[in-house]
Amino acid sequence: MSAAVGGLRLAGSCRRGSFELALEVEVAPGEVLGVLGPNGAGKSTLLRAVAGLEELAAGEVAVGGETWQRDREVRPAHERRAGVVFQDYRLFPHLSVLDNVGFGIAGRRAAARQHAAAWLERLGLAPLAGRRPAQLSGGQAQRVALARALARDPQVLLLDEPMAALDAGARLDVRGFLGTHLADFAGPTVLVTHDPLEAMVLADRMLVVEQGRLVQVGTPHEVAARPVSAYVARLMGLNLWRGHHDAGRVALAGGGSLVVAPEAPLPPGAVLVSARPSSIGLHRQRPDLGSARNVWPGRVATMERLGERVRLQLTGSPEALVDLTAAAVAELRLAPGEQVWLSVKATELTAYPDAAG
Amino acid sequence: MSPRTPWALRVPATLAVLLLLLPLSGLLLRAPWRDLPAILAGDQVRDALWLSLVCATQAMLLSVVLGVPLAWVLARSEARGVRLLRALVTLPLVLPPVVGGIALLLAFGRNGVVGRYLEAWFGLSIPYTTTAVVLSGTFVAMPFLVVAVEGAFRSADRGYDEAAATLGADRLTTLRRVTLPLLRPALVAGAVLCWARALGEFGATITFAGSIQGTTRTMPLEIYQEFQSDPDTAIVLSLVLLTVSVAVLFALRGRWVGGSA
Repeated sequence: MSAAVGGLRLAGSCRRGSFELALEVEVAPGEVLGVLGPNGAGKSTLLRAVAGLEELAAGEVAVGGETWQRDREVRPAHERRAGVVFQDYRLFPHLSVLDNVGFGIAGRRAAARQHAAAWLERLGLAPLAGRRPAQLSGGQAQRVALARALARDPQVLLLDEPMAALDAGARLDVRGFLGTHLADFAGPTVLVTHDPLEAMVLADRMLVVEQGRLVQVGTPHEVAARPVSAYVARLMGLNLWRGHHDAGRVALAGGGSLVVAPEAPLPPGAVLVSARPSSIGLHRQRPDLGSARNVWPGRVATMERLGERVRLQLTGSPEALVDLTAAAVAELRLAPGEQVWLSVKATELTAYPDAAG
Repeated sequence: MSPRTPWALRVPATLAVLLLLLPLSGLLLRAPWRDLPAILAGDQVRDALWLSLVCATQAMLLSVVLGVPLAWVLARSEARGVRLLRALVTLPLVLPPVVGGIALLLAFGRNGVVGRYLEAWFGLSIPYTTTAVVLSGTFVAMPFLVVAVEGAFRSADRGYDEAAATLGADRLTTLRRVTLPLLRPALVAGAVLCWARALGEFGATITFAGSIQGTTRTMPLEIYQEFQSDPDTAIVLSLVLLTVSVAVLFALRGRWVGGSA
């Protein structure tokens, strides 16, 4: 590695039409930051601002001690050493795999080819060297795109939805491949995705962006266990309710209330409560309390088969997602429109302070 | 034609086909096939054919060297006035060539706006030289290339340019190593069209370059000249140009220029 390895820092804003991206992001050397958010949240804009394909309207981009942008002072994209893997790969169709990988390598053509061949070898892609991009499968093109980005000896690695264009089989394969080679990269890596599993598996830290704003940051485990927005909760397949906590009872913003049993002392105030859909039980008759401390009536709105389970959406106070086995659905003779009782143990609920509240 | 085509369309369509193809078949029917080798071997004919090929090729090369950068500017520049510039530089497409010839004469002639200084400072005189033939051809033919290549620049996928930039290529390197290779079909089509147009140029050439055997008398001028005295020779030369045109058409429709032409 020719340049000193250093972290990435981006702080600033970028305007696109009526929409403004305003973020402050730091990524340490060797760290993989997963940026998660719905389509149009500004994830790609963040990557493009680092790569120099778009300018921040104001702010700063710095990588490893070099300033790539400070307000109006903008270093052009080709003078930044950023390795980019585009969502659609963008391998040059008129060049072989070898020449694609050698494209970003400075120096004489022959030396660049040799260097590119070494990278292909290292990533196990040597047999593809002579092929044209049109002759590659999606998974192969994805790997070649990563090889091309790495061969440039980048100071920062940027991946834009690296698996969005792959089918499920190739995705599993490429995920393993990315995991290995992202771990080998010494500089900071930013991985943009809307697939939570991809982010959970590959990222050391996650950043959730919605409508150009930072919504949540934390380890994948933290984000998965304590989502702070409906979007993240839905991605993680969790129920999430907002409310006001006082002495173990949460009055929900949408009506109803829940008894919680927080592990650590939880002060009174705005909180979020999350629950796994499989932790909620359904009953035809109002159950006697037992250990299921929260009981409320609801109505089945929709039913959807998810593998071996059935996911039900229920209206009520609060409304909830519930996962049941197909056998349980049959036994309860559930159908949309049916009146049922929901129950969940206080210990199955996770309650935590709501910063936005 | 399918039997459903209404008469009101079928009749004029048939007339159109006749109007376009009858004269050409007339050329084939009237051609003095027996004397053809002898006529083609003549000095004047050989001179004209050679001169035409050389000048059309030079005009094409000049158009590529100057026209491709112009097409890039027209397609990619965000400067003000580019739209007006585009209209102006494509004007020769619709301008009568003889008007172009007069304009060239007024610019590069001995008393012309530019020609005056070329003469005074360098002792250069362009009118009635082979250079004038090349300039006339370039004047009328370059817009064909510019229009074809500009369209290709416009519709080219900018994603590849971005990828090249992230790999350290500046705009010129990107143009050379990515954009132009990807545009090769359009470039070839534009160059062939440009060459064919320069080859057939008559009005601007005869006005600006005159008709001097071996120096400025290209095929179209030779055909016109011979037609006054020796129609058979004119017909044979016309056949030669017809053959070249058919070949060009065939080439443009062939797969090697991209298939969509």
